[in-house]
Amino acid sequence: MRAPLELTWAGLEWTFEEPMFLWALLAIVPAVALTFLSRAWISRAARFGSLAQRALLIGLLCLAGAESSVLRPSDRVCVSVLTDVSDSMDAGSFDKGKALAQELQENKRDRDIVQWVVFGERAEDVSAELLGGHLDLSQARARVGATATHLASALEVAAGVQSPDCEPRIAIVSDGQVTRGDASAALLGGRTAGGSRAPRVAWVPLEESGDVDAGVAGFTLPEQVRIKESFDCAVRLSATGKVRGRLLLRATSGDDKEQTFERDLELSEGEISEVFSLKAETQGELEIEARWVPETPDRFEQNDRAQIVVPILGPPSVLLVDSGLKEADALKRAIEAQSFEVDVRSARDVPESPEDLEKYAFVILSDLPRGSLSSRTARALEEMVRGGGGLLVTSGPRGRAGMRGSPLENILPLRAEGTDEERTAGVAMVLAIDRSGSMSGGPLEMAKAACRATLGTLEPTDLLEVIAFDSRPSRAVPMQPARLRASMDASIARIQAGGGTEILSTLDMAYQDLLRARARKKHIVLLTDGNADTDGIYDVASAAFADGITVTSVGLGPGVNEALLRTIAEAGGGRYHAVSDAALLPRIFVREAELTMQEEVKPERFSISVFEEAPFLKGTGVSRAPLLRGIESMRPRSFPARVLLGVDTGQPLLAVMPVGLGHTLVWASDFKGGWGSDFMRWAGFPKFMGQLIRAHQRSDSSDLWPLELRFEDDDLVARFDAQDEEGFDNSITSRLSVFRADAKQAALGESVTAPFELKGPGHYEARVPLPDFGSFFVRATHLSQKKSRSARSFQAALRPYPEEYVDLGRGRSHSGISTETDLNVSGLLELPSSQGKTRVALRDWLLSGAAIVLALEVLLRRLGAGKARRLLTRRVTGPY
Amino acid sequence: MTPSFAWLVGIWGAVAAALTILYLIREQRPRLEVPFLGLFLADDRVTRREALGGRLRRPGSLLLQLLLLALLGCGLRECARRWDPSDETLVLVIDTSARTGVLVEPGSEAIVLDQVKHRAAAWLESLGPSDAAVVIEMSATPKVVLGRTTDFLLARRIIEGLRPKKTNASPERALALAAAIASPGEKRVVVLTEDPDRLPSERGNEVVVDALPSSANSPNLSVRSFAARRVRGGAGQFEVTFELVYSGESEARVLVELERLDEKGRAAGVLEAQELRLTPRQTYRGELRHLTGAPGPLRLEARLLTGSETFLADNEAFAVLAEERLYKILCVGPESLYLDAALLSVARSHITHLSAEAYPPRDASENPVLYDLTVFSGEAPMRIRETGFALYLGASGPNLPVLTGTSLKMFGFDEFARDSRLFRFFDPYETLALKGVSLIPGASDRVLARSGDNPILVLGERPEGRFLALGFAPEDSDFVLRPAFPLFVRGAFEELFGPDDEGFVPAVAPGQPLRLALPEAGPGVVTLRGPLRGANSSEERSVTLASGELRVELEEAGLYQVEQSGRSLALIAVSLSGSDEVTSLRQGSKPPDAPPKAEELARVESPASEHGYRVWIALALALALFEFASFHRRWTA
Repeated sequence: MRAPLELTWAGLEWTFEEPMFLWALLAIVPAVALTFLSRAWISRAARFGSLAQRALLIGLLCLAGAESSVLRPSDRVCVSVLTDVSDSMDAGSFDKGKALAQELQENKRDRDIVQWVVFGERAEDVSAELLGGHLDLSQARARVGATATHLASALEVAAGVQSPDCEPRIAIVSDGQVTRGDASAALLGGRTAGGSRAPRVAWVPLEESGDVDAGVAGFTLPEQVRIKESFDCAVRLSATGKVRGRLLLRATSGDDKEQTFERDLELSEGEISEVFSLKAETQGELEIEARWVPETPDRFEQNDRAQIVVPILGPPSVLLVDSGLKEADALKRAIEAQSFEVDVRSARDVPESPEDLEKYAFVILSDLPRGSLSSRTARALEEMVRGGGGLLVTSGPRGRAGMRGSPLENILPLRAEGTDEERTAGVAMVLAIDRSGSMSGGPLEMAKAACRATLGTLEPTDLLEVIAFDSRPSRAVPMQPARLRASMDASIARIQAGGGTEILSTLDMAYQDLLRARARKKHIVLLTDGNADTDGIYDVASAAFADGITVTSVGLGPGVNEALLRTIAEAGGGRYHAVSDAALLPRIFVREAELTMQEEVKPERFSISVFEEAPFLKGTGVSRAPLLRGIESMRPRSFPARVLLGVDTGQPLLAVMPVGLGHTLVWASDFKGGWGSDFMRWAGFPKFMGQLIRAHQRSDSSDLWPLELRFEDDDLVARFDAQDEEGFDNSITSRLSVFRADAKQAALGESVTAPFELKGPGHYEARVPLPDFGSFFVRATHLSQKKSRSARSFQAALRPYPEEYVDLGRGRSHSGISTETDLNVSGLLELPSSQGKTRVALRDWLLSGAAIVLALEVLLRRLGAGKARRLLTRRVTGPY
Repeated sequence: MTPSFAWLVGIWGAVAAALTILYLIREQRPRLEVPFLGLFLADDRVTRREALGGRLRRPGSLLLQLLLLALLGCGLRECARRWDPSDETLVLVIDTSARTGVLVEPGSEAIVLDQVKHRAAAWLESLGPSDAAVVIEMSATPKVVLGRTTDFLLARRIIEGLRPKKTNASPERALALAAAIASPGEKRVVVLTEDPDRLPSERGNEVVVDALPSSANSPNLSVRSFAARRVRGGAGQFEVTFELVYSGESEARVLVELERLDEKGRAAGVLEAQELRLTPRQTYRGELRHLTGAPGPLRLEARLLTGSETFLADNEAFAVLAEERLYKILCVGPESLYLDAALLSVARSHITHLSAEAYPPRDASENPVLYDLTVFSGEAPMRIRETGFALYLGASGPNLPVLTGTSLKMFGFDEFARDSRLFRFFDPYETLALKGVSLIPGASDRVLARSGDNPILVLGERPEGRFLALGFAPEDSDFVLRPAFPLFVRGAFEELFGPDDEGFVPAVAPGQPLRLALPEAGPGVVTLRGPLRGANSSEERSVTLASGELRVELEEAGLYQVEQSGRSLALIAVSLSGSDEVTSLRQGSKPPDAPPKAEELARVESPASEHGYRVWIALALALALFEFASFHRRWTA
């Protein structure tokens, strides 16, 4: 931009924007010279008159060309009356603002400007209404909105009329509770650019309302509410002072069933929470309405009520995996009675991907034998647990050491004792077979068949020894696990008949061998068809029994010493079988094996003790539950595994261990008709299972990535943090969906969606424009690439009413822009102490003047020719 | 209404006719009989010849005068273009967002805003003496920079003084403001912008869009996002994430520098520098980990090492880290070695011991000394707000914030709130207390632990601040002997103060409404200063807090400081990254989420001529002098 020339002359400030034109004034010099050298036939006076006119013309043209302007003092004032018409203002304040503006309009000087601006959500210049208009409060609110106070917009509109040549003054009629915009920035506005002077701002005194106000500020609810689960609903109340009233709460479910509560309260300044316990009986939505009914009407009734619609999720789903689907029925019923959905599957039908397992809050692996789960499934289960799910593994006749070798073994709080080889066998049996000569033929063969049948009855891990004796014992089959069936069969087949019958040393051999064997139940079956020396036999049998080894005797044929065999059986704590037909031997031996296997646990019952208290055990009375018929012997892992329940022998029964965000539990007995049959028939069993599952089930992403929801002006902002011991997770892809909730309709409204953006390390934010008020459902879905984990949440959000109706006793807030309150009409219109300046552009006037001067000059030149003519005539005519 | 050429010719013709009549009148002089005239005429052939020339010269003056009059008329016509009696108000909405700082072409110094100003001046030229102008700056927070005025020289100066700001444009707000400004007569809103497509398609009839040519399409590199955050428990470590957007068509080398700034916004050292290779049109997301050494704000700058770009404002972004706070802890009551040891678990703390009789602590001027947390043991004195939050460890006396109930013996934590931050790292089942009391919580207090039905740990808030009360003295239990005790103290701290070093302070975009809680601020007014410009002074204004919150809209990218009574309360980072200025500037194409291209905008020519009238004035001046000379030298008559 060209640099203008400014100078002060005659008390005025002159500005020439094109000062180069002023050089053309020098053209007056030759004009003067021409006048003196003039040859025109005009008088001297005419000549100099012409010069004067032409010089004036040149001067005017130069000044016009130089874009001349002059600043002259201005004593205008420009008064803007900003009237707040938001809902926090009453009609009296509006009338006050209107009256002030009208009074100013009537008393102003012609050159002054009076502006009337109304503002709420936005601002509008309504100065035209001062001249005969009839704008009332409701019309004003309709024009600018009343549910917010945007003082900044009013200040900006006021700035539009505040020109540099006037003194700006602003009178604000407002309670100062600004809910939108940045008023102090608006006041600063463009004045830093030098466009106008800083305005003098004053607040019109309003009558301070003495009314105390109280209202419902909102609700505090759990992030997830499930069907038939009690939950706490806290109603937050805020008050600006002491106030009495009644709080009404009504919860209406989708089937129109209501729960109502009433409480008389006395509130003091601040915010309090009143907690109510609710329960949703049906899935769908639960509409919760809170109403505050003050004893005397308060300032805002708009904030006395709030309503939120809470999604009620279906029952959590439990996956029950059992090797026998029918056997799982009782457990399934017990869990379902506690408001869970139970999905029963066999091991091979268990989903193999973590995503498919995600719908289950809890998984139970019931009595699964080893190898029944694939590694992929096991890894998926581990993933599920780490993501927050719960896993319970039970033992059982088939499930003993069922998780050994599985990837899950390392995340269980109890482990099966020892390896296969080290593990204690259930049963160790010694079959002492008489192979004296009298047994040869059919009896011996049947005896061998009986041994083979016994072998087939035992568990692979049980131990069996066959001692064939005649005049001395020999181990036909040394003590070994029954799974080595083939070789044992072959060894049995090689037993040959011999001579003699030596029972004492046989019995002693069996006793000694069993002493060395590791088994929970040890048993000797002695088969003979003859007689033997009885000395010492009773002592051996007694000693064996004292060491937990029982002895059963079988007498074949009529020639046995029945009294001896009976004595052996009595001393050995076993049975005596008198058999006449050798063909019965296999059956008898098998029966003995079965009885022995049953007696492995059967004789013992286990009472349950609480080793460590846990909240979910409270109220179950589990220490008074029926005895268990058996448990698997297991060893606890070190911390953080904790053994909560055990049996009276000191063995652990129930242990828990946190794994990732979830938990694993092991129940060392079973939940079937075997070991746990009495326990399952106990009346407290469903409650025990329900509380155990609830305490350890997945609770969705609320624990994983809890959402923080907040309304910022007209946006719903959702944020969550993702960081753990390993650091920030910046790999999450998430999406937010917001639905308008309506409890009266089954279908949700349209949704607004937005992706979450990574705003910083581990911090995500999604912003959704939501100008409405009311209750909304918010759904978030997350997928972490780093953790290979997904999660979702579904919760309610409430924006009960505009912030305009929140009065927390802030009082007059002047937004940092002034505290002047002692103003009046004359004060607003008084002449400014320092005058402004107004610029008058002279170009057009100068140009017009130049045209007039030229015309005048030409006119005078033409009319004034008379004299010249006379002069000319005299010269021409000469002396005649 | 501009006088038409025919109208002007008519006027000129009328004046010319009047002058001609006057001329002819002058020529009609009475004839005198001059004896022997013939001899003179026969003798004076030259005179006759001169008489012919003189007869020709006579109308010359008239013609020159008429020509001079015509020139003045043309000049007046130019002026008359503006003599519209309708009192029009011209509202100029001038885009000063960051993209107006784009160089017109690489290497040049001219920017788009220069062109905008030129056009604005031309619009002002079209105004008459009874018209008025309003100038609105279209930035993130549109504002009136010049109210309704007839001082067009000042308007030109104001416009000339505008500069591109590191901010967005908010066309909707700007147009709404223009619409809200009243005008006594007609109003015309002219929007001067380089990108008309970001204007709302719905606009009033009085709105005219004067679109300038698009800026040069050179490759652009922008910092789309930048944030920094402290690592939990990381002893001053922090991490940074950033995203770069490159719009070039060929591969480029880029230098990314992370530097720290001091509290005045001055560069205070480069922390990290990386050179990257970007493929065409790549969006690159980067992370910088294990960084240390930044007590204050940070600035990230990315620049092209290959080629040049015309838009530089989006090459930087700012971030602030949550403050590493030093907590002042006051222990009131009997000294306890266990407590002192446990307080070592609170990072960055300064511990002072005081007896109950000496509480509250006062300085030399008898003013209370400020603390963040006070731990009360034994007989607790009346608490004051200035000593911060409170932790009562088995304290007793009438000054407790909760009532005490029955005495307890041999008890422990039967139930505790697992979701509380206090129990995040341990669970207290095994703790056994010899003696204590049950606590009676207030209505809004939260019970965090019970022994049976007896609350023994209560969290609440009173006018003096938040508190946590434990119903037994740790020394009366085995708690102090357990590793859980320091974890309990640490957890109590986090429960009262919130997570430590986990706070994230995001940057905001220009114009974005910001609500910042300032719990440490007193009631009333704070001072907001910024954007900080190092040694140069920054803008400063006072803002009243609303319910302890600072609610502002910050216009320009940079760092801002919030102060109260000389004490710094917070630093705010405002970044252009993430705003439309960054996402919408593309080379030759629109961003995928841009609105559809508006209908072809008819280019509106400014009705103002390019100072044509000055040409007429200059000619008139020259002719005035010539005509004067010709008359007095009798070149014409």
